Amino acid sequence: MDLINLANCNRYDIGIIKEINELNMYDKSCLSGGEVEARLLEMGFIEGARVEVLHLGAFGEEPIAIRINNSNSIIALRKNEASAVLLEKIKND
Amino acid sequence: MTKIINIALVGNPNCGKTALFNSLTGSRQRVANYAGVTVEKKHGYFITPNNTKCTLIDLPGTYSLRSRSPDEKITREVVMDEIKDESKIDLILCIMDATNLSNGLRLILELKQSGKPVIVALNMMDIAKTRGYHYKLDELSKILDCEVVKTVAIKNQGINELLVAIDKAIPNLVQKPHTWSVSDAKGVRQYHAQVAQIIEKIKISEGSPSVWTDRVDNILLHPVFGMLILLVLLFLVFQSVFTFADIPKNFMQDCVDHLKDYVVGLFPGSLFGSLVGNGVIAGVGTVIVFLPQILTISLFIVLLEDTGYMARAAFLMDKIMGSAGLHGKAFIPLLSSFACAIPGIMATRTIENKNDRLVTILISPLMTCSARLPIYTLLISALIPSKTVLGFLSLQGIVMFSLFFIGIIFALLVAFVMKIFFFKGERQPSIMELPSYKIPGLKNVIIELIKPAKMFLKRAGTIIVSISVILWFLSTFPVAPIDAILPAIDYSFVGILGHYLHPIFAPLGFSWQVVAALIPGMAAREVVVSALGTIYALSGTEDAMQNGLGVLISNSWTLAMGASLLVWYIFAPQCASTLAVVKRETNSIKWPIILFSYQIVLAYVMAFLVYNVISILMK
Ligand SMILES: Nc1nc2c(ncn2[C@@H]2O[C@H](COP(=O)(O)OP(=O)(O)OP(=O)(O)O)[C@@H](O)[C@H]2O)c(=O)[nH]1
Ligand SMILES: [Mg+2]
Repeated sequence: MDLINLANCNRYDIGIIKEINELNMYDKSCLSGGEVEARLLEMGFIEGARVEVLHLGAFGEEPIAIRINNSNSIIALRKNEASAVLLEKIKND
Repeated sequence: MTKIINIALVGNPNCGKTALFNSLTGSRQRVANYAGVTVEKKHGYFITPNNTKCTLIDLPGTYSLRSRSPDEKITREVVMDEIKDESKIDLILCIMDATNLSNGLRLILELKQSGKPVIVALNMMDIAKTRGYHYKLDELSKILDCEVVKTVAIKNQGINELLVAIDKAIPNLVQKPHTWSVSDAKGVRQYHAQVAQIIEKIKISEGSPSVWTDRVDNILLHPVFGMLILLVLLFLVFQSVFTFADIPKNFMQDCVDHLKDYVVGLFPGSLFGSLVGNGVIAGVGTVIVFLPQILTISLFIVLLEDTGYMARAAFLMDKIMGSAGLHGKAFIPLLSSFACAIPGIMATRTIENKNDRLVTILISPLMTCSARLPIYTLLISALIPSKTVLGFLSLQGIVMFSLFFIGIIFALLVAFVMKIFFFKGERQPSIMELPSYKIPGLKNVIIELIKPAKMFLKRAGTIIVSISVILWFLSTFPVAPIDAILPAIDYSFVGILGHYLHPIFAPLGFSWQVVAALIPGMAAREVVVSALGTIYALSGTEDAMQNGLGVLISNSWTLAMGASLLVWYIFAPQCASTLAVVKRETNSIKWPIILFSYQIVLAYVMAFLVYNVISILMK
């Protein structure tokens, strides 16, 4: 199964995180290596978690608002950070 | 003498630490529904049922002890006893949001490595219950090897149980060896794995997130209408300043005017009557009448913060902030600056990147703070006809909104320019949490309105009274010679200084009275209104005596003059406390000087342009 990038997801897409890797980012981060990855992990992103794209920013652009697993709070992030996250899309139910 | 136990309150952002701090210590620290409300450590005290004195330290929220931003650094330093000369932490009270357990558990695993004893408060149990997040807590307590207490901080539930748990812990507070080290991505993944195992063991039911948060967000975060709603909301705030806040304001204005006439009438022709009437009452009275307006703005901001909309506003503005080179989170300090730039500047502590934070600090003073309302309202009411547009919008409200809007636009422009020339750097990551919506508690809203009201009245009673009295003296003495042709004030110190500095400001269209009022107005923005009140009252024109400042301005000022002063006040660095806070937060004298200089240049140039353009157009 092909992996898709969280930054390319549409609204209501649901997927399972397969990989969080800075090397996939659109623009290389200006932070020291591993830092963006650590921040994403800290905010709750983790391989195996289910994510759902809830909202897109103005005119369908960044930032995107997503839910991780079924936490009661929502995480907003810009596309460049989102591009570090690869998903396996699961059927939208 | 028994030992005082030091307890640190640690947890993820927005999990209810400050709410719990307030319940335990009876304090009234700010509680609001977004991440990053608390940015300082705050001490509070309580006594346990067994009579042990405890110091409780409320801390900024954090996801880990890596301390990415200045506020998170404070938390790390306190928990790890990294600050010299401060008593060591004996016990960590770790709060977790029961509806977001995995983030909380990762932090607790990290906290346990500090070697300090930990007690867990599982907060937001009310929401957890209704949303179906159930866990085996005795199991959790066993796994973590510490007490776990259920709490609902805002309803004071579980506080007694928590106190009992603290009492139970006190006799055997032992520090185990410290094994913590900064974790990298690999380390965080390990915590994730551990937490997954724990949750597997304690889970009864998984729960489901708030449905109506999603429904409300479908409207408020709508890709097109979301932005529109934000604009309309802000617009309404400034409309209401001119519509419903105007009624109590006019009533207060009448009271002040009557009181002044009464007092001056009591001592006809005496200096004392003039001091009390023209100095104190004219000075303080002209400012105090703006209380309803300040409360209106504060009410809106408190509601935005307490419902959870604040983080949404930041979400909606992220793209625009990003194009000015700023962090999305930077919009929260900017919005807070509507009330006052000082909490806004403090709130920048949540911004990780040093340059981004500096730029945000430097532009916060351009936001229309509530201390600008008196001068804005005075000039707008005096110079703009109180018409309704489209049947329901007040024209004055529209002008007020435009002033605020100009502030935001210029703030972003200034940020953009600074980012290009002085703080080159790539775009920083911007990740933030949007909390689920909550209905604001009435008690909390009232507490948060009493605070600005108290502060405002205290300033009126201290700074403004003393400045008014000093100004009265300086505008009365030296007294005019017997054969004086000009009004007496022209011969006083204020008159002399005003006339002396007048040429500098003449290109902006300011009269010498305005120039004289700007000087005490450096202490605090609202003082300029009272200073104008005093100076004009003493200038002795019939108009000022009888009808008050507003009428005088509308009769004798041109639109160009008023507009120029308004524009001056959008940009000018007329607030000593802001400069002091910038110095403290940036830890250098350089930044307040830069702030002051760019603001004054901008103010001068813009006021000059506006004065001249309007003068030409009106010819
Ligand atoms: N329903 C419910 N709401 C709560 C509870 N505790 C806190 N809140 C709400 O949660 C929000 C956050 O509370 P705060 O006490 O400001 O959170 P904090 O952890 O101090 O947040 P930061 O200082 O930003 O890290 C506020 O809107 C509170 O009213 C609770 O037990 N139940
Ligand atoms: Mg707090």
